[in-house]
Amino acid sequence: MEAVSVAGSGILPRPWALALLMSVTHGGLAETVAPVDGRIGLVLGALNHAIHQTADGKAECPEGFHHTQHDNFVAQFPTEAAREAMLERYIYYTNRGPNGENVFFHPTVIEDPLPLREVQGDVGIGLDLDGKVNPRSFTSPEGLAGIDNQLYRVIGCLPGWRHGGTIEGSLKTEVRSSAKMRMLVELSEVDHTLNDDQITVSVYRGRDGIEVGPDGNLIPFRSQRIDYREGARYIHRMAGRIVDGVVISEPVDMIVPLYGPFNILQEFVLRDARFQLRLDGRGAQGYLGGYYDVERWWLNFTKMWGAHFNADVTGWSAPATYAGLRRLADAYPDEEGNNTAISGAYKLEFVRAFVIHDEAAEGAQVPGAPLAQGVSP
Amino acid sequence: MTGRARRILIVAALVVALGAAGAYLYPRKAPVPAGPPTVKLISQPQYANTVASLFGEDIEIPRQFPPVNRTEGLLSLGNANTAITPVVVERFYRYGQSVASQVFAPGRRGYFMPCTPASATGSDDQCARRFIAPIGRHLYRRALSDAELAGLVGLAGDAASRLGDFHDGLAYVLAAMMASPEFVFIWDNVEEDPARPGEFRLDGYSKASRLSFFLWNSPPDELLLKAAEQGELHSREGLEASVARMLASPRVDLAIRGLFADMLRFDEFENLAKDTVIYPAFGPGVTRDAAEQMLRTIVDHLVTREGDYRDLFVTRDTFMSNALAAIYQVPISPSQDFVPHRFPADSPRAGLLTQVGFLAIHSHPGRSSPTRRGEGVRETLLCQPVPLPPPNVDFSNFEDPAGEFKTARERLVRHSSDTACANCHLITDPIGLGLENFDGAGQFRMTENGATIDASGVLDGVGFEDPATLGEAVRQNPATTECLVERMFAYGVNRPVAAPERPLIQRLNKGFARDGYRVTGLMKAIVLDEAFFAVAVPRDPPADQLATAR
Repeated sequence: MEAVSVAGSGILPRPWALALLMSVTHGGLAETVAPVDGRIGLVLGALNHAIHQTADGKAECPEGFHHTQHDNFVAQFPTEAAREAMLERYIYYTNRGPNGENVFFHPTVIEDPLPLREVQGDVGIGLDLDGKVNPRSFTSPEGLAGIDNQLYRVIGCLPGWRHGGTIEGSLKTEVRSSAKMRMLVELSEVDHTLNDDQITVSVYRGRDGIEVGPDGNLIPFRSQRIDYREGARYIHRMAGRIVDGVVISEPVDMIVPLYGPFNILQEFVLRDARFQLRLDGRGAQGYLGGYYDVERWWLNFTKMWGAHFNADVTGWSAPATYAGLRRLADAYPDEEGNNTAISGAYKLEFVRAFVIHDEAAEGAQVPGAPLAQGVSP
Repeated sequence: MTGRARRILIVAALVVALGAAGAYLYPRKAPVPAGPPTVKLISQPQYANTVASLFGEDIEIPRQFPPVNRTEGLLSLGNANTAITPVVVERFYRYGQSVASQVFAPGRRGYFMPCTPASATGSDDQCARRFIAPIGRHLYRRALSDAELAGLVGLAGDAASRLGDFHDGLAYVLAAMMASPEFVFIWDNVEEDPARPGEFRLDGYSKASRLSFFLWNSPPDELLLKAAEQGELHSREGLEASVARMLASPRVDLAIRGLFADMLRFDEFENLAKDTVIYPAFGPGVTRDAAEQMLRTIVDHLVTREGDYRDLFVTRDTFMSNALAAIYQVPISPSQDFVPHRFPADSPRAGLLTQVGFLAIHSHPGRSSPTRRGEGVRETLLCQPVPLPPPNVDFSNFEDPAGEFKTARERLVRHSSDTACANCHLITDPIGLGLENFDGAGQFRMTENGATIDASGVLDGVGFEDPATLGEAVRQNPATTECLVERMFAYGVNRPVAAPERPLIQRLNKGFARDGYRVTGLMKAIVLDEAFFAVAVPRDPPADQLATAR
């Protein structure tokens, strides 16, 4: 098995012996985690927002789920006659602004009559981004305190974002079907897969398809070429370490390309983004956390996904949600002291892959460059 | 197909069936061991190579031909000892129709037609003759007689008139030629040997076919047919010249592919299926590529590098495809297919036995099989037949997934405690257990059910520790090279090696050793040996039967 042959590392003992040692000492887990030439390649197989939810939702959403766009439309125009008049004049029920503005594109022109039902309580998942425990931070079901995930407070009671909702399904489909959001993570300079205080974590976009086995899972150990066609835009490199089998990377600002419905590109700007991934026999799973630029996030989920999709399919209401985002934003204040970014995380699943480099193309890139101009809000 | 043609084929089939067995009743007086003249059904690769050489590689033909019985380890010998049914006859006619319709498709026929017919909607004997004569000569692997040619030209004209299309008429004749026993069977024709009055020899065309199908797995080309017509293949110098030319041709690759695909039982890939829930990475592309990987490795090592045959069992060099890379867990650029690949020195992969193809076909759909793998090594590589299991075997210990035994070794030890089973399992299992680091899909593993796999063992007195050193043990085994010599000789002369030919095989094996176990050298030694063309012909009734059948 080539996965255990670590030619050239010089640090590791004979790979067979190493794999045997690890399989004995760690229940066989490490056998397929072993790096190749000090590298562990991963390809993204699933992505969703880090949302903790109970079966009936009553713990985190005691008042019920968020009022929909239609609920707010009815509340805003309480009589049949008023609604008919509004539709007669402005055609569609998302155009609820005083002058017929579409409230997804102009979420501040009115206040929703029904307030946002944000997540209650302190149980949530994600990452501790600032190393602090504060009144609004969450504690994971496993007891990890200080989790920063205010985006979850905003969207955790919106049915479209919860597990089984439209957004999750769409992301799952797009991650698998579109190479345009093929996220690759490569760990390099890995000497030990359980604890290693100095590794490098690189993020690339891949350009090859992924193959799903009959069990619905991705087939591991396929090869993926790096997509250099966008230059360094989606290439990020950061220092990292492995602690008890969990990869932790240092924060960098990152552009995360995602494709939504209708094959429309979205680029999420995630500040102080960092990975926390537990390596396992097939690949890794965990979080990519950071602070979402609020305006960029809003742009992606409103204008790009479209008002019709949001209002009719996902069912959420724009003014209350936008107000929630602004109110709960917790980082990167602007000159007036208003926060412009909100903590959050993606929950990720990777399978092992081989990341194929093209040295000539790579030499021309500048990995780890600051955010490209025009992408920042 | 006419009723007459069908009758001819059925008679021919009887001759094929009777010929091989009957001829040994008439021992040849010549000093060289000799077998009977054979009549051999053309194989799928030989058919494909014939069509490709005449009409190009883009003509599609069926991937599978009707099955024949494997005889003495080779399907090729089954082809020389088979009876064909009317259904098979019709099938060959359909194959011919398919080829003919592709050849005479409006966009393609211009490449093959040497002339323009006087009328597109009727007959033109002169133009038809210019197509039929050369194509018929290559299909029948001999010049057509005047009567044959006239008959076929007449048939083309008749068909063109009835069908209202000159090219449809020619297509009809092409399909008929490709269903003819003259094409479907590769015949040994004999003639009086002028150097040894009263004895017989293969005629020039038969020698050309025997040479060509052995060295190229293809029919004779124009130069070889001319050499046959001019009697050059009956002289040592002429034969050596043709052999030298043929061995320098890239078509030798086809012969190596044909022989090893047959010898290593590649027909089993056609029905190979794995449980993809257990082995998700083993998709349909893997099956195809696993066979191709083995063939590429073999051709590269034996022909391109002119390597030592024994090193096939230890070589680290192979070729890798995108589908296979996930099974081998090695990187490959997904934009490429089949790139050279070298396993590092500390990899457990070394040699053919550790390739996915060998491991997978000698396994069960959902788990490995040390017994099947051991049997595969014994039968295909060492020419040592393994008896079939008795019908009343108790598999319960082996099959019980909740049993106390974690590894195949533990299960087989229990299985072998039954002395009735042990005798055969001792032949196979120690070899197969040396490959237990590979699961039923050929994927590497260190453990089975949490227990560390012990892949050590002994092969005919030579110990090994792991799959790579098992390959070394096979490499050192004297039966390994003698088996290839035996298979190759039998493959070349279309009959099993007989007891009187043992010294010949040993002599060829010694020459093989002196030549550094180069397989192309062995091929040359075989065709230049007097025994290659030696033929013993019964003088009495069977010869008459043969003439009647023709």
